[in-house]
Amino acid sequence: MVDFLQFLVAGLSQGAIYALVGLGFSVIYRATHIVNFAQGEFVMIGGLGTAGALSFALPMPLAILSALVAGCVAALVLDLIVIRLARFAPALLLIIVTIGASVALRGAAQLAWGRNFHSIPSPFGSEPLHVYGVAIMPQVILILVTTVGAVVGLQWFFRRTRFGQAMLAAAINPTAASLVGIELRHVYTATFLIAGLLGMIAGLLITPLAMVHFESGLAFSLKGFAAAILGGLGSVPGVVAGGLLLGVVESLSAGYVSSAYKDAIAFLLIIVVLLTRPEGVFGRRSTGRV
Amino acid sequence: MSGLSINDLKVHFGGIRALDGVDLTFGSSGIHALIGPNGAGKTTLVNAVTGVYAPTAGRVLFDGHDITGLPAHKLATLGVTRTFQNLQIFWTMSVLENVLAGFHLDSSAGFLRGLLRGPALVRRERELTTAALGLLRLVNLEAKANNPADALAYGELKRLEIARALAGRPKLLFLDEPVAGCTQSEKCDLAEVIRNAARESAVSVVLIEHDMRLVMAVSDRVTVLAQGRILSTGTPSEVRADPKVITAYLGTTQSHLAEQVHAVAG
Amino acid sequence: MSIINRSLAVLGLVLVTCGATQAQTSKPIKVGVFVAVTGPGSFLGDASKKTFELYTQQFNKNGGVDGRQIELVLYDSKTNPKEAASLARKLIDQDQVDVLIGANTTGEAMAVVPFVEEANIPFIALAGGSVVVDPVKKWVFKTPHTDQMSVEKIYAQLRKEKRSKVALLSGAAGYDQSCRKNAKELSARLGIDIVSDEQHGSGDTDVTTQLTKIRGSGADALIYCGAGAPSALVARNYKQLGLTLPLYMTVGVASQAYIEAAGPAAEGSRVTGSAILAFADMMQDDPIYNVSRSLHDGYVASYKEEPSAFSGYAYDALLLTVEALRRAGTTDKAKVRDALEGLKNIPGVNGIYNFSATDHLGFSADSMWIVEVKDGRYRKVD
Repeated sequence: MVDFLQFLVAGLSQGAIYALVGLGFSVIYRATHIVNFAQGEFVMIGGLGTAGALSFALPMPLAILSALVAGCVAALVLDLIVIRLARFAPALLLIIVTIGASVALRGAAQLAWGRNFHSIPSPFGSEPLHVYGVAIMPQVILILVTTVGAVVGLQWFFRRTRFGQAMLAAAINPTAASLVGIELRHVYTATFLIAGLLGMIAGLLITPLAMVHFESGLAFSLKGFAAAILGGLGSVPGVVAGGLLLGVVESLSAGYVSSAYKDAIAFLLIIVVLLTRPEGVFGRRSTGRV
Repeated sequence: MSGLSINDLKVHFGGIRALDGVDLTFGSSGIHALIGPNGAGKTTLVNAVTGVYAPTAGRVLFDGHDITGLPAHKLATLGVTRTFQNLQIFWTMSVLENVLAGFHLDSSAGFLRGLLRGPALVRRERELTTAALGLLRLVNLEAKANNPADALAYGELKRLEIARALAGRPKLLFLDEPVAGCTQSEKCDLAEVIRNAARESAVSVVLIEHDMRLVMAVSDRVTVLAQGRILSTGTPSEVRADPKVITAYLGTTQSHLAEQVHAVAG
Repeated sequence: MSIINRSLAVLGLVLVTCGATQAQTSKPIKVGVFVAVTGPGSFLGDASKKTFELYTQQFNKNGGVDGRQIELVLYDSKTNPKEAASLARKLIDQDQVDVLIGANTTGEAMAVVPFVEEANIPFIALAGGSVVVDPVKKWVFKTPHTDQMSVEKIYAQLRKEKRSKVALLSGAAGYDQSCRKNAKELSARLGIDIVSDEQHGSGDTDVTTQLTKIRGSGADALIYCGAGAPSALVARNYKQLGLTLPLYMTVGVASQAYIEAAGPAAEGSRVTGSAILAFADMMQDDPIYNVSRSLHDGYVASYKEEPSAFSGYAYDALLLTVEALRRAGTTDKAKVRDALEGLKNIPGVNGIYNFSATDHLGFSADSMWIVEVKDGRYRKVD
């Protein structure tokens, strides 16, 4: 039982990170129908940028801020490249462009922060809490709380703010949205900024536990994308559930089946889901009419 | 001056002169129909005025502003909007939410609606909902306000588009072949809706239409386009009596499908 | 006046230039190097590159090889076997190097071997996998300790401590899997029982699940078969779960970078590697003391950091190359190869090299140390 709970804790904290990265995929996909494979690079920028700034003896809040600024600049550049091209290019080409952008961001990160792995201290230290024999890092609690906060915040933004509603409307029907006066250009820029922020939050959360280096983004992209399609690319609660499910399935298959095949089992699950429910476990079937 | 004025508007696609020097004004009220045989350039005209195409030459002025080539969201802020032949609906929203989205430009709705859910905001939200329901009543959809949009019939969706367009308080509304997809028997009940909209919302309506019965029933003025030029302008009865118009319409037996194909091809 | 003066000046310049050319009758010896400066193996390649650059310079300052300078041609193989193979061809065909050194990872080394065999050029690999020189390949030598030696060394230590139940945790990389395979194969012969065999993926950011299973397996020692940064993750998760069984790491971890990355979590973990890891604990009568000191002091002075076992591999490769060239007295590739194979009792940073026709590694696990992290430094374990 203790082992099971320990597996669960590991799965949920990993899954929460997958969920945050997956939400970034989801937000951009909904608005632009582009799968942004540079999404994981924001995780890397969030972690490495903060670690890099800390090495210049900046206080933590400033270090985080400088990483966020760097990531937002990257998001804006990505938006500029992708959306400038979007007026002419087919979606497949744009997806390839995002892969190219991720390579470029990795290169830039290597120049800026070197090739080494870096970590940042957790605000709650490195001593675990013991709950009924289960070791829980305080950082894990922070990860879960922040993820819940980010999801609630995102939902609030889309449901209750005028700009969020405009983004939602633009995602549903861009032509209709511009007819009611919504400027799509702004919507796309905001989309990339939000996706970037979600990725960077994930990076800030995971770096105190794990370590990141300039090539860490790729693995996060893969897992985040898997979480997003598992839950249904278009739905916020779906992606969160998909991320948590992926994390827990990975952890439990490592714990009870074989740690050698945990990734294989997780990806098998995704293939089964795609074959039986292409819109994701929690996604709504698309209801477009022409 | 108020209203829309189109000066020497030309749209050429390669060697094809889709619009070949059109001068036209639409007043600030009433219903003005734009008719003509297939390929006359009606939809091209609307597309060129509403920023879908960049005109090859010419200028478009609205209330004294040069709006030539402005994108749709800028036109919306100036009070010019349109519907498309294809439905443009927020499919996953409810009927009421579709209309509420039309209030986007209503600045009093605030950037961070609901950030502080004070009494003023609650009241404001209630007012917008009341206004939206009023618009739905105008288009005979009040009873379906809380239905999902994708549960409506085609004719109802066309009316929903009109209600949403009116939510933005436009001064000028282009309706591009609103009854094109409706069945013969009902014609989507649009005649009365368009008449009521023009009267109660004080909007000037430009109706691009094939269906002569609808045009003759609702229009205050009619302009006939043929081969990218204006053939005739006047009251419905004047135009109907114009020999040039009769000649242009003789032998135009193209099917509705051909018209659609042509419209899509531009 | 000026014309005469200028003419004289030009004449003088010409003479000086001729003289300079005259002095270098023998052109430099070209040593071709490809190391993983970037990519997942960069923690190895970076130390290698620094060592090559520093000590080529130093060997040249000390007169090179009988007066001939060494010219270093160094490329980044990006930890990519394909890249390594094409760089090896470039070094052989275009740069026409006399000796080839490189390949921080086993995959890169094995990708290069066919070209080396075909071109008949001596090649000293910097990769750990025993497969590189086992079976012996005529033109291929290597300097690093193997993963197999690490495992042997750890098993010997465990038996000394009367421990016999081992849990393995391995990553997905080539080195990790080779180490895991060797650990399983050697266990029966050395009286060790593998009670748990866990693995993690290459991008994983958490291994608490695997460690939880190991905790429940009854193992009395944990060996991590892996290299580079994931080892710091293992150390951290190990501390978080409060595991008490001793944690052993192999030579893939043997650098200061591990302690820096894992921080306090590294305390108490044990690492196998070259004696230079705990240079402070080396005895002056150790036959490899002097050569270790030469690397240690020079490296610290130039780079302000401790040399790792990986610096040692590069240093030894360079040292053996210079020694073989000196003995061969020529850059004739076959003669240099023969000279390499004939090297006996050469003290290097990793051990005393005794190459032979049947042994292109030249030393045994005895030359390895087990060190333990104490107060942020490696200390020798007896």
